[in-house]
Amino acid sequence: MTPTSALSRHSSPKHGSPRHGSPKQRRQEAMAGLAFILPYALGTLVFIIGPLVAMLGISFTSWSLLDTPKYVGWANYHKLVQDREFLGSLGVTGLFTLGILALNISAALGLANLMNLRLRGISAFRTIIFSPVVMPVVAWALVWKFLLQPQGPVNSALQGLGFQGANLLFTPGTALGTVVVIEVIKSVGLNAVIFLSALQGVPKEILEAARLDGAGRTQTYTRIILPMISPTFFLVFVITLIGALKVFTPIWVLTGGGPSSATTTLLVYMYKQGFGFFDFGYASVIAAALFGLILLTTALQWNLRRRLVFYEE
Amino acid sequence: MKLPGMLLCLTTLLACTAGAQKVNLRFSTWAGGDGLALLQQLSRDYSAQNPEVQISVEVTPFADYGRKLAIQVASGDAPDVGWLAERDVPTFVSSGAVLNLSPALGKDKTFNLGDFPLSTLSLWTRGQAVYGVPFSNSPLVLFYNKDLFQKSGVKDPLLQYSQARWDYPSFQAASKVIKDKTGAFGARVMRLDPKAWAGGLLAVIWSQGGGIYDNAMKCQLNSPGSVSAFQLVSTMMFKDASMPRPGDQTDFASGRVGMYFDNLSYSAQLRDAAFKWGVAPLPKGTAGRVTQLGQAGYVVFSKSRNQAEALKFLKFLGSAQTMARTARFFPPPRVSVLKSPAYLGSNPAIPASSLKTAVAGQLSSARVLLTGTNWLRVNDAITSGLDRVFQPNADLQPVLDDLCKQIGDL
Repeated sequence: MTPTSALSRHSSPKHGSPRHGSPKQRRQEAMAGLAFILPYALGTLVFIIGPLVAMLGISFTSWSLLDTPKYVGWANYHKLVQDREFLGSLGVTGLFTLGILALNISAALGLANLMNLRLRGISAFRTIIFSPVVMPVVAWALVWKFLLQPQGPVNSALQGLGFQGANLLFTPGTALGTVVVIEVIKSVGLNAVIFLSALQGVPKEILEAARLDGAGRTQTYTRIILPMISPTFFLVFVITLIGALKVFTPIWVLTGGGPSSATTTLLVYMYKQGFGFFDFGYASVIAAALFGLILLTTALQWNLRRRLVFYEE
Repeated sequence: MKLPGMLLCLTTLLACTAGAQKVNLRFSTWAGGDGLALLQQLSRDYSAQNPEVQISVEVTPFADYGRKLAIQVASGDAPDVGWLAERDVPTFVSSGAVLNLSPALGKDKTFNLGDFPLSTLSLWTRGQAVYGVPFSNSPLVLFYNKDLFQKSGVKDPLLQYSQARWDYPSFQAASKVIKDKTGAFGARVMRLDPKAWAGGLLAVIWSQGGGIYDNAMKCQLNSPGSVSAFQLVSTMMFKDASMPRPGDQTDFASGRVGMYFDNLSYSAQLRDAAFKWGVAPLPKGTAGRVTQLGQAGYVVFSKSRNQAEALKFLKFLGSAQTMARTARFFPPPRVSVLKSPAYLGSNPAIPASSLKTAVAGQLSSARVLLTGTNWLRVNDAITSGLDRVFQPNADLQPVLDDLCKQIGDL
């Protein structure tokens, strides 16, 4: 019996649905329902929808925080289209997001497969992989900043291995990749645990049947296991993508957007315009662009979901 | 029953009236260590003299100071009185966030605004209006680790200065010997925060005849003088390896740096230093011995709800008596205090003779960095450009030409 059929049976008229109570009862039920959602709805209204509307309003002004906002029409939007630095930060955001997606998902899947093995000490391994997830992000970034000093332990070791002048975090060519790796090490544990639970949820009978039908290990993995965990794959993809677009703290602490804007993502660029140069009108336009970007990618993902994800009937 | 009730009401009423008369002033600063302790003591002293006023000192680290103030102003939670850093003065003054003090201070003979030379007020003045009272007029000085100098057998910078030999080639040589003999860094000219690059590096650039702008505010970072200054620093970083590269977190207070450029107020952070240190003038360059004059001042915020009391407190802070007390950490802009013998003997950690040579003796050749209202953007472009300048084997001239082009476009 699927959960859906259980629900429909439970809500059938035979079992006395609330819809068939007296009007007073129904009103009371509705009030109770509203009371339950009120805290969440109020929170969303005050802390999410309110600022979102305000942001759109501010994007049509020139405002330094210190003075009163002045209406400037579409001027900030025109500036955005011609801003080369904005386009640069869009490119950095794209590379950063792709890097995080590729590295995080592949590493998480690999680690989940390892964690799924019945080996001695596997619990300790799981703990080690998951522990960075619960570390405060600023502390995490500061430790890495110390380790990645120009003549710190990591760069000295690389120089010792023959990489002359290695300075991972302060060379424009390597800074973004380094930040991606640091962010992935921090967050991969969560995705690995999600994948692990999906792997453990694959029914043993199906694997057994595949083996009896003559499927090899690779075939079983690519033809049976991966399609079976594709809903989880989709979930991990969505949360990693949106998470990558929202990463700010580790980048700000590690590089501040440098060297030479090599790690200036849209969020860092927005923060610099607002809190660095006190141009809140322009910062709001960048926020609006970021909002649009996230909305677009989410819509695309939902459209692709039906084609790419396998749901068991 | 009626009498106790009436008494209770009367007592409550009196308590409420007394409460209403009490003024709570919020004083914002980025001071730390002994400097902060002194400000807290001054606030207690003021409250003792004016029992109706309570002062709460609010501390924000320097890196976030301007940002936090702006947010406080925007959210209607501005402090009453506060410090304002040189870099934030143009923005705060042009947006009207700070109060014009001239009506209150101009005619006050006790305060005596004339005691401040005009050059010290230029940053804070627009026409006849004065928006702040500087409390620190501090040239960059050279802090040096006496233990490292002794271990490496390098002559004391003050001695070299007295022999007229303290120039940038000697500075570079001393730095290299310290590195080679002790393993510690010989010198650091830039601060840990890359955005604060100007505090230190700019003095080297000026001393070699370069600069950020010329008189017409045209970029000069690619001029021959600037390039030679960047070349010197680059050589010390990458060839001599005697200077920490950008991103290195080794600071002077750790005892692993031989020489360091900073304002005199940095001495407040060396109270617990486990080594002997001293102060000396900066080295001399091909264009002279030019040091940078850092300024910070007291302001009253326009949105203060207690402007009258805030002005009185500012007068107390900027008075000659208080400035004589803060002068221990912040070289005083008031001529009467600067010239007093008490000032030169005010900091037990620094001998009067060193103070006279490194601070008072350098004021005549010191420069203030004059910037426009787009300085925050220009500074960001330079900070970003320096990432390309300070790379091993960087070709400096084209990188600096490109940087000047970017600044021109702003």
